[in-house]
Amino acid sequence: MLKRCHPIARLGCFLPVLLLGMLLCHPVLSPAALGAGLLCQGMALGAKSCRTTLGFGLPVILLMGGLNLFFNSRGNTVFLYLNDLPLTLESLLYGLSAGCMAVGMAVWLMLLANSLGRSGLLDLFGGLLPGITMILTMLLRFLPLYRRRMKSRMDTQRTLGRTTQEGSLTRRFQDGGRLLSSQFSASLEQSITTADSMTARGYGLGKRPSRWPMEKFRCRNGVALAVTLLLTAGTAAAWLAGGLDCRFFPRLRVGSGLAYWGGMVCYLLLLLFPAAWWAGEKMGRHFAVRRWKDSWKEENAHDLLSL
Amino acid sequence: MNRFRKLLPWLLLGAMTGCILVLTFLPGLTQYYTLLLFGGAGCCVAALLLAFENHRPSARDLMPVMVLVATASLGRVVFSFVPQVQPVTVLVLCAGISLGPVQGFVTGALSAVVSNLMLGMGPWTLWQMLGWGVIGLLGGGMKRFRLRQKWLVCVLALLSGFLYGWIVDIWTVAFYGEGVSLELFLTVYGAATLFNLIHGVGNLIFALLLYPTVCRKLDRVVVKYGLDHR
Repeated sequence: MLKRCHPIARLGCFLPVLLLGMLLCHPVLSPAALGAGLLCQGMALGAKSCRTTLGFGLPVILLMGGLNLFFNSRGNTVFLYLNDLPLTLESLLYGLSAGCMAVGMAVWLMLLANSLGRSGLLDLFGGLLPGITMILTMLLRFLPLYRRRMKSRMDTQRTLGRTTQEGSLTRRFQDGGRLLSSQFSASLEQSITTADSMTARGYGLGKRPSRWPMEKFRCRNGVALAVTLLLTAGTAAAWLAGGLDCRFFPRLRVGSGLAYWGGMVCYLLLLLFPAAWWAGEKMGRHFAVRRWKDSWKEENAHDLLSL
Repeated sequence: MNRFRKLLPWLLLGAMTGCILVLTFLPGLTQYYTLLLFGGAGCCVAALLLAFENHRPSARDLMPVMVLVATASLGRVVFSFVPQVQPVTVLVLCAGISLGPVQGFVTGALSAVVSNLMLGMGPWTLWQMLGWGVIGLLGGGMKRFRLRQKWLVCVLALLSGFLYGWIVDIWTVAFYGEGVSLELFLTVYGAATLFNLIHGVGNLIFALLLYPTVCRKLDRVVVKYGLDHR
């Protein structure tokens, strides 16, 4: 989702929701966060992935609600006595909200991971942590190489009669150990050779960053970032003013007044922002393509007529 | 900017200490424990990664770490069918003992990230980074004090099973959503004792098998190519 934006803007879209969502356990806002997350997931990854999430999410929510209902007897509104055990509406609500919060945060974390991807992460941290980013970038290539080298080493050792596939268990174990040991020493030596050839090509000499930014930070990324920051600031201010506090016990009490409604609106807008942005981009691209097609038809109208 | 970069790890460590102090001494603020716990762990990991960067590592410093991370994470993936038994802890310990504390931390933290790319990312990744990183730091401390006897490393490997489990279980406590209290921690740690014991015994076996070989190879590279010249 939102793969064509700058990683900072993508992070700004999803991270505030994650942070605020972990703070707010609320009977309205937590389900709203889950719903908006599912909406984004449905738009970006398709309905099937949504169904999978619901398949594991709904049982978790119901389980947490049920556990709270039966093991937590706080709350004033009793709707049933089960062998002198009061089942209260508040504990059910609390359990369901906590379940929605947990599943919703899982969905948003998945959205963030999906949107950033490996390249986005490398791009984000490349400036701050060049050495670590270098290691990670090289690892992504090195892991398949390591497996391939292991395979060829196994083939070579088999010609010497050493194989992990046959023989007694001790023998197999010894041969496997020899294989791993030689692989490890060779990789260490080869890595030093790689390091020297990197230095020979100028790595670590100048101010060359070990990253290749895929996207530029464009004006609309700045606008999106500003909007999300503004909405986050609004929600955080409402939360600090106590408007988004929610007490489940002994009786459900949510805030009221300007802080409450302002915080609610800001948070809901923040939740819907990624989906709206994605839809806007999609629509913009759709109209751009149509305009381009129309202009092409106009330009070539008489050619088409003469055909 | 450069001075700020040098100061940043200390600032982050200060923020981590602040988080821990708030959690311990200000019970009024413990309702924000999820944020405080994650903030503290994030600050600690970021501080030590930045400390590694502030050494200005050359290509020769980076590459052995990369090989160790690759070996550890492939080892974890290969052993992922056995619960809690994997060679990562011992390899990270060896990295610390041979290469140094900060390198050990980076090896541990990156092994968690890279193996989770294959096994599944989540909020637990941060805690695994911290857990294995701290074990790498411990190994580095062994290097600093020249404690490299095999029996000592084996004991440390056994204990680091528990240490890793205790650090990662902070995430379990945060996930329960019941706040932080000594009783909750003791309950969770008590329930996890068997798993930690399996991890520790697995570490002990891996340490007996791997420690002499891996450390000999790493020391050879360190001496041959002068990696600890600083």
